[in-house]
Amino acid sequence: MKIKLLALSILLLLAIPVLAHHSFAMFELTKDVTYEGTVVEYRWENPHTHIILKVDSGAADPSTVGTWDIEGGATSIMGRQGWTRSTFKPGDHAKLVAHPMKDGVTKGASLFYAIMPDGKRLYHDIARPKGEASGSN
Amino acid sequence: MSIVELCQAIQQTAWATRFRQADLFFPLVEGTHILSLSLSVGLILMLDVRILRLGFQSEPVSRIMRQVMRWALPGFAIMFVTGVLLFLAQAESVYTNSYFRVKMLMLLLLGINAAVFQFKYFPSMVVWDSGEAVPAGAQVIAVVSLIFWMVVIACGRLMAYEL
Amino acid sequence: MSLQRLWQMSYDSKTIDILRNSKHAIPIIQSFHLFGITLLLGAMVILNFRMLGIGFGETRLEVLAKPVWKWATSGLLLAMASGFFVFVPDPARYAANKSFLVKMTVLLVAILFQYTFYRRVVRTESANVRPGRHVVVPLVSLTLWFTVAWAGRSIAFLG
Repeated sequence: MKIKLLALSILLLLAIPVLAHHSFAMFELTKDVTYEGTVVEYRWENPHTHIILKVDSGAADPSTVGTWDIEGGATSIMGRQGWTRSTFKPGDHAKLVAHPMKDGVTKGASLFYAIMPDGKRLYHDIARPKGEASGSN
Repeated sequence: MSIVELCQAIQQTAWATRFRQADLFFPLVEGTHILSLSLSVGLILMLDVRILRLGFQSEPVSRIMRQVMRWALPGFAIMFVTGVLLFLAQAESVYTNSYFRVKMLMLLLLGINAAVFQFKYFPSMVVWDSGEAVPAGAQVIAVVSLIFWMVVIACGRLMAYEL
Repeated sequence: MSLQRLWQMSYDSKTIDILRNSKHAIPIIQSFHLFGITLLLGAMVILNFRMLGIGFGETRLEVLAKPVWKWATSGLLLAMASGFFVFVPDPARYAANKSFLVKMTVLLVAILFQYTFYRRVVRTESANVRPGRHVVVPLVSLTLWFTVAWAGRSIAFLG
């Protein structure tokens, strides 16, 4: 009886992805893609900050053309890296490095860092590129 | 106005936006929501265990139920209030999230599960309160409770993994 | 071997890569982490409320403790095992997170307290039928465990 219960519960848990019918929002964490375009929306909010970025058809990387939802972290976490509620505003030009979504269809990406006009990098969190020391604030 | 449009309207109100932009609101409300799992689901577990005779067999079911409900009811009230606040802060994002929908469906089924226990098995509890045999139906309800609560918790976590 | 080298081993490992890049693994593992926490904290609520005299007073502590102590231990083991697999794919991120460091420190204190002094109190309290005799011990226990859980939640929000 107990084994049957356990089996049933495991089956039910595994069924969740099927029930949900959507793909997970998992990002291609090993891919760093540069998105350069115009900010449509800058949503400084919890649980995630979102930058909606429109990349025009003349872009250097054709796979980045379109309007993207680039998701950052919580406001406190981004704030500690130097982000503020007015770092970007609609109409600004922005250059963002992010990890695109795995499914290759949905135009969503996980923000890694922004390259500011002065060349400085604004990271979303303490994570740094491979080889660089991390955790130094 | 469709439900999605209503949710969009709620999400765009000034106070909902203020909630999302505040540094502390989310951590406090969501943290309370998750920590209160111990005061709600964690306690219901005790009742389910007794019904299935996996523990506390020396205690009458009614005594376990009484002690559990004393704290589980306020616990669930906290879950509900914090849940509603979290929903209102991001109504549209959450409403269109598949895991949220499955979670709400599960909660509805759990509510029905509890109601069936309350109206079908609770009135006759004095008969099987201290005995060896618990009605099979009540045992099924306890098993459903255990499994469905795990699904609810998992869905809650998975919500964050859908854009 | 420096910490940096240790973390780099995780990022270079192909096995851990499977875990890191899997669509389902991390959220499912985190769900098990939550199951463990619910079990553990629920158990702590039951025993400590009993000792404080604010709940579960109709049942003798030794009757409560028999299954409930096992939940606490199983919940803790489940949380620790799943926690390990959440940590390993991204160690640098967690190691640099202040909330994580607070969590680990308080966790250590909580475990030591639980399996030495607290366990003894629960065993001797069994002989005593009156709830509400202990105040400091259950308050310390609740504070320690809820601080660990709170710090855990803060990892993503406060850093």
